[in-house]
Amino acid sequence: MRSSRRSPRNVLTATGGREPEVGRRAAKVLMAAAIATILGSPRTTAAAESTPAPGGDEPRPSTPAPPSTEPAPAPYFPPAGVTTLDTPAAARPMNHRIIGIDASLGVRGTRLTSLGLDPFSRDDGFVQASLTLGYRAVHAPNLDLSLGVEWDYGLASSSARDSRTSLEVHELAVALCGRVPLSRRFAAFARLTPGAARLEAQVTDASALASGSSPTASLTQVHWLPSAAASAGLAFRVASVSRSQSAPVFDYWLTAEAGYHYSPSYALELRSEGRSAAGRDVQPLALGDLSLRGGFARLGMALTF
Amino acid sequence: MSHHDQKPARDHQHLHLRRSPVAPAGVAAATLLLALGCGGRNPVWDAPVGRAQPFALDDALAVVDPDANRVVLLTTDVTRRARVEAVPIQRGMRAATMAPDRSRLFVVSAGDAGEMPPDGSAEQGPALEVVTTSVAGRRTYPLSEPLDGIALDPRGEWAVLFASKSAGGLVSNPNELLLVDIGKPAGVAAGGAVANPVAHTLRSFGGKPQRFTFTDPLELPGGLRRLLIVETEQDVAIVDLLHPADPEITVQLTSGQDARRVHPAAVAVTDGDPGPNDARIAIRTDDRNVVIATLLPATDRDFSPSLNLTDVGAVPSDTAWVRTDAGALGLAALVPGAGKAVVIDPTTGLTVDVGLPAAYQRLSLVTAAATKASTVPAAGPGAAVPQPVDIALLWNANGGGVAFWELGRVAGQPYRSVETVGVTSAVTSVIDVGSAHPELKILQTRDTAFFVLDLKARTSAPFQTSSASLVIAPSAGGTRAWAYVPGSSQIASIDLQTLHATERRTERPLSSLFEIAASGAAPGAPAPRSLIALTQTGTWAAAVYDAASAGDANDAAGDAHTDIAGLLLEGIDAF
Repeated sequence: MRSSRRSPRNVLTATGGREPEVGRRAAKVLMAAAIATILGSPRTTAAAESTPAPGGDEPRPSTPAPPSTEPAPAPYFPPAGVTTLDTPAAARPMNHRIIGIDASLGVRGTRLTSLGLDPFSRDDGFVQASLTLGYRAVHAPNLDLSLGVEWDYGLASSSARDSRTSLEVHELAVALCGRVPLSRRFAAFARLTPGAARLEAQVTDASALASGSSPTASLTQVHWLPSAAASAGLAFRVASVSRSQSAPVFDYWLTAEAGYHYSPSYALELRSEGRSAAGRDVQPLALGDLSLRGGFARLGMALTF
Repeated sequence: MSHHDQKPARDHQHLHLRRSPVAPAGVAAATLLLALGCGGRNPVWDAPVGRAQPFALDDALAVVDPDANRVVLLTTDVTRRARVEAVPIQRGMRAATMAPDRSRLFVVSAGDAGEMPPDGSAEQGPALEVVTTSVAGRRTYPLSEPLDGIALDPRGEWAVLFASKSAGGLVSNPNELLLVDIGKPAGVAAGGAVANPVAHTLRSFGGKPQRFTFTDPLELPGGLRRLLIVETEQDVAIVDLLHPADPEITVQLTSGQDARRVHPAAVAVTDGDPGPNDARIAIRTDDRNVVIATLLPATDRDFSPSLNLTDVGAVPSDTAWVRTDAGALGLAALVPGAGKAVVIDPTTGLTVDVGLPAAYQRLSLVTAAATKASTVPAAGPGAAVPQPVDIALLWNANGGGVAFWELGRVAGQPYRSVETVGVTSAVTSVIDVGSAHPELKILQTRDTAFFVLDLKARTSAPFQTSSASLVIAPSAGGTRAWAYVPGSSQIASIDLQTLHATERRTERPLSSLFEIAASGAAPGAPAPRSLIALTQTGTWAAAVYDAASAGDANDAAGDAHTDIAGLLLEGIDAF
């Protein structure tokens, strides 16, 4: 499996096209190694052992390479003081500092089939931005467990019978994430995010009572409800950067995941309060039941160090 | 090639990007995200609200919402809570009208009219739908043609459907009628013939239907019958509702030798005295003649009209059957061009002219309400019961005020009296108040004033208003009248007992005002009623008041109301 050991350097070679023959050969070997990794072959190679956890604080092993029968590739000399992902393992220092921070930013699309979404969206899609900040509480060669906070924000706006409508959702959740490295660049992860959602539904309509502070009349409802999401996905490490031998390694990831989001349904009952008036009872506008329930997919970028 | 050639431009960072798995993963994720967005919403959310139309049923506010293919029913209870129910109707709504007793709403729809139905929907044909607050009372009558005109029987037994001027078909026959017995469900007779509705095509001499009149039961030679009288532009057709499919009788008003066309203007019907052979139809025309058709036995059918033409001297503006001396039947015709009224004896055709103090144009009988106790001759022991003598209310839309015409005959003149009332404005409409005060009429004028006319006391109480566009509607019980100006925020309540007016303000400018029955009354308590101030802006709003409190100036709870906004957004989720 020496080819695996050489793969970091060969990857760089193939990408840059510096030595085409060597690069092609290395790519074949890398592909074979990747397939073996995905199929579950024992991670006994130096490269596999040197595969960093997706958290990025990679242990850089220095297992000596067995003798090679193939022509030696061109040597790679990283700039002084900078460690990269493709630095030969044997040449890497071992004293990178581990901070244990995971941060990610993503876009989540949820398919909501609830009829209650209809006044606020012309289709069943609901897009949210996700921001997660976590701390790696458990770090092991084959598993990372992190605990963090996730905030999702989404806004759907449309019109209902010529009245402007909007549904704004803030979700704040505890993010529990476990990650398993699959290969040197890939990791699988699963995430569970129990939390709470704040939904603000609004219909701007001339039939609503205008309040003194707002020039436009609207019917609104703000509702809090519990929510939870479970998902699993793959992370691809784009790059690892470190400024010095002792500085933390910053790993940049692209993530893709799919899962299911759940929240209990509740009755959409929008009210138009207007200015205070004696003797007025407001009967809310009933728009049916809404639930943020459905499968979702999320694409994101993550940074771990 | 040295390794330095591969250094990125920013040599303080070495970011090494691989091409391979990212692209397909990104494509897959993007595809997944796109898939999330599929699935449309109910198209009703995109339907406009501009064609919605309100109707005040007795126990609900019904809003016909044609672009959403539904009727929104708003009902209330004694606590002013409102319940909104959406009743689906067929696609392609053409016309809607309310039963005269406000019990039902009739909606005529064309269905898909040859167009493709929406995805997932079955094709719909033309239909007449009856909408009530009671589910059991709702009915659908499939129609053979997509007609768009409807006329209702005041007794609630029949509806006639026809092609009106707005019919959008490429070719339509305006004389093709569909008669619907709305007391019975839709049905198919033995042999496949449609039993209800019944198609009836009028034999036309060039005219097409203009007005429909359903008569009360008449004692005709063939028995008790109800008739449908159809006025076209140049003749009158009589349809026997006992045999609606049979050919009608046509009364032609223009002779074949005359190029000038005489147009019917109105009809008046009387059953005459008890017994057959004296039911009559008076046809007022746009020339100086009145045609009286007496329905007599015939050989080829149960009855046939015998026509009598009477010249009244000028074009009559209104006619009514009246009882004159000793209960004698006569036809009273107002002839404003000659400043008189003419009473026609239907048997002999003889006329009696009655001079009037003004050129009154309209006439309505107010006998029961206007009869003074002191003017009714007392019947002594053994004396015959005095025959009723009609009293007519005369008014004029062009000025000249109001007068009471007491029919009968006294020495030297063919009437008892013509008594003017001190109303100098042009009266545009006379509104019946209702059961609590049958002796009262509200006279609307073109000016910024209206009058409450007491038929018994012969008084007229004037009320000044801030706008000539004031709308007045008596309450259901007749204890008060509501007044408002569309677009304003003021509601006035006039106590018809004390004639005291009070005002309340609504939070929004109101478009219309309705009084409906509320549910949930305690046993023995008077039936509660709700006052609904409707605002037809945006998706419509309603304020529900307790009618009794809102109309009482001394009731501190009179301003209490339930506010509902977004009325036309309600109930869509249930579709």
